[in-house]
Amino acid sequence: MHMYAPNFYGGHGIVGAQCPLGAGVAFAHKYLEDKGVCLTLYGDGAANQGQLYEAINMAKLWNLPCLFICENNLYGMGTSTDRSAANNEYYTRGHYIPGIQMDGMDVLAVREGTRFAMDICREGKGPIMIEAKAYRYHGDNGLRSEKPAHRHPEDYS
Amino acid sequence: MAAIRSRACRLFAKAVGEIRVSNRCVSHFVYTPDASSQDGDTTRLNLFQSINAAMETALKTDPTAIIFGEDVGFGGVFRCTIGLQEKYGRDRVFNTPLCEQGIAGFAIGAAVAGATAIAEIQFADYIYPAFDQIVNEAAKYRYRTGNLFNSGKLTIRTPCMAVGHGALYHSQSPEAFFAHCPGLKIVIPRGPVKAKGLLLSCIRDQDPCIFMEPKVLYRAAVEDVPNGEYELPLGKADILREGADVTLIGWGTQVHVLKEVAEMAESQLGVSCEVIDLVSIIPWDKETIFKSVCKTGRVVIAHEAPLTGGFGAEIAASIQEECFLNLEAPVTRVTGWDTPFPHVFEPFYIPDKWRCFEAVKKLKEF
Repeated sequence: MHMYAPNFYGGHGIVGAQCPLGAGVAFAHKYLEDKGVCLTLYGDGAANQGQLYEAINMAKLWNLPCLFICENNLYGMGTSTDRSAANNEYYTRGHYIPGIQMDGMDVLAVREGTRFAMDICREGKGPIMIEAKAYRYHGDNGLRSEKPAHRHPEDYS
Repeated sequence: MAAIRSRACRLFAKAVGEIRVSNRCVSHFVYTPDASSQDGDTTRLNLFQSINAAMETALKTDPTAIIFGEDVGFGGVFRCTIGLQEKYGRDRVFNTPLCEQGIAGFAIGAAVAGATAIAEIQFADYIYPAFDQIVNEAAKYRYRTGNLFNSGKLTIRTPCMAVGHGALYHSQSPEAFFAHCPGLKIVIPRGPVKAKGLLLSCIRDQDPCIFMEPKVLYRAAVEDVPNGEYELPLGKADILREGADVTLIGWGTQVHVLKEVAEMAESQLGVSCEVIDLVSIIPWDKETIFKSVCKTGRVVIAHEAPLTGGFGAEIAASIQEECFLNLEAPVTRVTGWDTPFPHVFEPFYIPDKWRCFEAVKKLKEF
């Protein structure tokens, strides 16, 4: 989140603020007809930010080549998805945007799933939402400890 | 080969053994409690504990009080709400999703419906999605409904200011953005005793209040805090040190920097400084400030927020309006620079004691 590179637009103060940015970058790709796709990543916590839904609406309305990818590691800082989301099937929260859920712990599944979604995007068929389900082993920024508070004791094995 | 390797190892061990570890002072200030000690029934508390105590008083004495925000349930990222959910239940102390705009709007709704709403924004740097709700809705509710409705029962608490490693999004002081909005109150405590009384006053105040907590003081500020409940007046500045030559004005962490600057000015320049903690940004205690400046004729205002449009500008403009004929030198501001708050350059960014001392020296020589 603190790194920037060509074509890698970095992280944002408010996580979720990058989603409208992603829609904007996707718009540029569509405008320039360069077959580019913008991958816009956010977490399960940021999935509750209003501006994500503003971005989704624009992406669908204008048929933008944007992949909205939710990295769901089951906890937003210290709060579990059960206690922060009315619907924690994050791949369905694009509503009118098709969604795919994949195993975020399996690198090959992620590669194939993303490739599949990008191909659809590149064909001009509009935005896709992806949920990569994963697990967080360590505490989030500021909540570091040997036994992070968010994990159940049974998870340690 | 083995001989070369073992020689290299010996040299390396020698080099490591000769590295001297020194104690690097990373903090730009030293917390000092007020000179006057509290007598009677007190407990030694740090800032987050005293804030916790104030909120507990609110929950205990006001059955409509509710506390909510990101991660407040388990105690919050700074432990300010620790123990409160266990004692008062999930229906009164609860987590919200990650949605600052939603939190602020929801808080206004709860307040107008009669709940004493205490909302937490996890870092002041993240308050901007809530800016519209606070400025356009909370601040103007009473005015635009002709006093039919109001969001006076709303208090927003948020950690602010530099912490040593916060960088762009964990160090900001956004008080100036909100000072520009009539209808709000903004309060910034300098320590645990002030915080407990001021927070309770904000919670019970009839107007929407923003309580900004200098996060670096959460553990660094420790003092004897009265055990019972007490309120401290909003809109009232504190003179922490009386002086005759220069008035130093600050708030939050900066107050402790200025106290040290006053000591340095006394011992190195023979200059007597009057140190004032503004405490409330709006409404601000013009009377105390003007009285002091009219006495000394020289003033330094210091704040971490950037120079342009910082609250120091407002104070400076007002001082020159009211105290013009008493001024012996231009009003001086020592502030953060007009850049985003840096990471590794923080020591150069903040208005530390050296920059403030330099300002005092220039004023003396003007």
